[in-house]
Amino acid sequence: MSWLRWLPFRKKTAASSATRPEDAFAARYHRFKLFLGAWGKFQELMTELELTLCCVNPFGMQTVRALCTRITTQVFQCMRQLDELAPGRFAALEERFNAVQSEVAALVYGRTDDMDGPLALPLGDPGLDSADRADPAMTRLAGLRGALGVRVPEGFIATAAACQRMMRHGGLQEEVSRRVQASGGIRPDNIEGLSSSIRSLILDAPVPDDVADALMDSMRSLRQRTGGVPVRVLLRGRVWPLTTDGAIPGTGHDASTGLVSVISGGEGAQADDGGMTLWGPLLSGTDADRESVLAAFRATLALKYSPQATIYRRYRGLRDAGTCVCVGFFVVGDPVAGGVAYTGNPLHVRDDSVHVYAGAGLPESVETGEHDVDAYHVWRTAPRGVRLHSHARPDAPVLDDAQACAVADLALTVEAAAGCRQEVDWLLDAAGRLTLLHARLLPEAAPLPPEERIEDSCPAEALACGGVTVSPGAACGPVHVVRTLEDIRTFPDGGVLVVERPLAAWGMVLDRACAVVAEYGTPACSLGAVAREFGKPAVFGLRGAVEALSGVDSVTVCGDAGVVYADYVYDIVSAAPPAHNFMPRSPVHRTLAEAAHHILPLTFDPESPDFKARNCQTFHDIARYCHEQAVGEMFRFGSQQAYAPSRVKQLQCDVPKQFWVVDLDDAFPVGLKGPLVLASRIQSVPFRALWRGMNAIPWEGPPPVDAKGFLSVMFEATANPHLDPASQSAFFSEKNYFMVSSNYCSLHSRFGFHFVAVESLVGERTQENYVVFQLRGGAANIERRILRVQFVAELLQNFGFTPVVRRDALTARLEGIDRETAERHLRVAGHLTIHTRQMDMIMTDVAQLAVRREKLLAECARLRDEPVERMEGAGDGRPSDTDGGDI
Amino acid sequence: MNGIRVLLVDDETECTEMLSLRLARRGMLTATAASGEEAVAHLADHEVDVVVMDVKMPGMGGIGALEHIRRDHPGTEVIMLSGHADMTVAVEGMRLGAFGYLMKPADFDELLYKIEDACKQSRLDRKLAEGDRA
Repeated sequence: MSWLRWLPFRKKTAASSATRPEDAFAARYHRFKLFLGAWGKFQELMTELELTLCCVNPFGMQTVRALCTRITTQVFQCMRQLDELAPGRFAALEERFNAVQSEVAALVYGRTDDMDGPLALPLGDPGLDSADRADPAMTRLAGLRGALGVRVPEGFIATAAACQRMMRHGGLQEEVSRRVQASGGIRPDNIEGLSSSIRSLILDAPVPDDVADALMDSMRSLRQRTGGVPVRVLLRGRVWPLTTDGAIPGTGHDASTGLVSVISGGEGAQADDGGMTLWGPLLSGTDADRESVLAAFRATLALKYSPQATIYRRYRGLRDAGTCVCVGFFVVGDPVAGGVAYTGNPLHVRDDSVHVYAGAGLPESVETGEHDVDAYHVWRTAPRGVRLHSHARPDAPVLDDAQACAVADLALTVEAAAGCRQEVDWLLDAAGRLTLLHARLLPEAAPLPPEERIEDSCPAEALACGGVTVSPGAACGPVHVVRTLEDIRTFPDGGVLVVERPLAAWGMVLDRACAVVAEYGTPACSLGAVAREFGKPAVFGLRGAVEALSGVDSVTVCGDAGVVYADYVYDIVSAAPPAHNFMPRSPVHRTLAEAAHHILPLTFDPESPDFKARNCQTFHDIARYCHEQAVGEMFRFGSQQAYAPSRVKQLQCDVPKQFWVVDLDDAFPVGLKGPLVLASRIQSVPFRALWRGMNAIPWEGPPPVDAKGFLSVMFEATANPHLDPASQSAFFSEKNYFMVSSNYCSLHSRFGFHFVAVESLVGERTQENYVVFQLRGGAANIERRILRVQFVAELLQNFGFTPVVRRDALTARLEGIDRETAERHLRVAGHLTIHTRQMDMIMTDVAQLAVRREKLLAECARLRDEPVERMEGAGDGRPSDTDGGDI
Repeated sequence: MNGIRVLLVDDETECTEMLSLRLARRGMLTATAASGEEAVAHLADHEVDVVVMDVKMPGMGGIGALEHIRRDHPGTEVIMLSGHADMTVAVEGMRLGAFGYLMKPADFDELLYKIEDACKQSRLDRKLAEGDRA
């Protein structure tokens, strides 16, 4: 076998084992324990995978890859240790392992193909029409110029291919992934340092020559197109997700006009779904030197890894590999004003006035939240009215009414062509010329809440009111005032973010915040837009909020009314919709779900004759197969003639049932002679606890069964071939046996027609301890057998076990427990081992079942709560001093 | 299991120093190396029970050093640590004889148990090999 080639010094031969039987036994038992450790870890990781898929918390590809890698190594360990126990006997497993690993690796590490195509194209070039070259929200500008005659900037776009080539050059992307992994993933306490580290990496990375040349050629061409006049150039990046067919989810991109119309795409689908803008630096002119251009390019790309951008992508469940980046170079000159305009109210569907937000200079000043900006509402129809809500200088608004109307008209022109509400970025120069910088779909507003409901339920006292609704909804959480980055590190999960200014940087906690409150800011700022996107309530413009809320424990933020109340206001919070959870439909979740398909399912029945290595389809199949075989190998080894006299004894007890005990290591006292062993002499912690549970309360015998139940048994006994002892697997036609060591016990037993296995490791390493209870089979028909395992599963669940039921087979686990807890629950397992016999025959007798259930629960609870005995001088589990039990 | 001789290998020396202190408090005898080459050189002159080694290092690298160690010092077990969740590399390392493969940042208790198990395995195998020679 291929993995044996790494053992040049070990020659695993029967002869070497026979020369020092005790050493051989010790080595085998240690291998078996290593196997059990890997098997237990694998089970834990499967549970972790299932929990992750539930999307309680957002997660990224780092989590997916780490989980899959850990699972793969544990399965490999299982196979390796099995091979150590039985060299060369299970060669078929390797081929199956390789096949499954390849499938999972392809999903989890699947690299997108290297993008072909031009690295830089002028705005308006038909080559930009393909959705995988550049973000359509950026490329449609040229179409708007042609179709609508609106003024758009001259410029060019460094395509997604150029940005990809930059990130793949010199292993840059791999190093980024490694840093994320090595830091343990993205966490509140490391996001800032990790982000800074990655951005520095990108800023220092060389730009590939072909990309650099393409950028400089485009700059030269741009200079020619603008007549050689030195005008400032703005870099603006866009990050957007691609579907597998290369389309933007939920969009209909019209290549002829560059306009976007909405195509119904289900809940939450909208154009630019998941896209974000990266405001890069300004270049002083189109004659900027090579180093300045490349530095600006790198700086813009690096913004993809800013803390808020990283958190945004993770919350949206976007894969780094599945999101494209492009960088636009736009001639912007020296605008006197810039901003954002919405052709409707993003919060109120009935308000269709144009909302214009303006600040001095570039639109970035509106989005960053750092400065006060002017807000205007412009009526659509005559008589045109403009209402100014100035937040900067009331005596000197950024725009006069005519200019505000002109901005509104620009936005409405784009809306008319697109057929849906628009969000546009605009610039105004000193000559009064308006330029359209960006146009995208305005997300649909939520329906207005019934005003009368709010009035009825709002308590009179509010901690702060009069704020502007930036994002609707309501939530309650602990107040956390953020002034510095240090405050960010201590932000609690579910906290209310309270800030003076809604800076974009505070977006790094939006995934964990339940609501946002700010003293300044408008709905147009980036933090507000992301809060709306995430479905987290946000109220801005609450002057004095920081002081008013400091020292308050928890508050209810009512985004709909712009009010903050003390404590939890049930009527408000309970009526609010929850925050958006993007994970379930996200690319990251899909990747993990597809990988889980190759990991989690147990595709065949361990009792089936098809349970062979070559039929393993998943990692679970492989690991489970290894477990069955490893336990069997230990039993077979211990039963060999060379060891049997000292290692295998019959349990001495007053019962007709025979139990055999195989000592794997140190459970039998030294020098124990003869073919029998008393339970009291077995020095095994889990065995003693299990035996106690099996014997503490005598079994009352089979339950009284009605005629139907009896006939069910008779029919099954004749018709079901699996009940023919001759057709059973080797184990269950063997004697009933325990395999024991001082801290390990495995019981395999057949009682009548049902099969029970209990396995437990109880050592000093709490995280490795476990108790597993397995039950299957029975004499009645399949329906009753299924009911019985469900019945037992529910009983075990009451005691903290995690049951998994597959048809008429139950496996229930309890893991990561200290010694005392393990012993107590082994008693429960022991009791159920004996007292669930033949219950399948009464599973349709509701009354009798109810009585049995209560009795079993009470008995198990009593056994669990008994004091834990210490092993020296203890009895075998019965109240009396006699050895043996009445099973 | 006091007295286990552990060699910690990582080019990020602050990691090895911290780990060395924690393991020493648990009674282990620790040494450090900053590269695969240093690790191989150390093993030429010192007996080591368990090597804990980063995968990605400049020069020889963890996988390269692993091959050397398994060939020249078969009684020394190697535990790989990696900051990169690459299942192909993980399996390759284990096929080459790594006793275990842990992701960074490794849970300290898990690493400790791994070292103890590796040492025990090494001693059991050595005992068997001595028995064969006898």
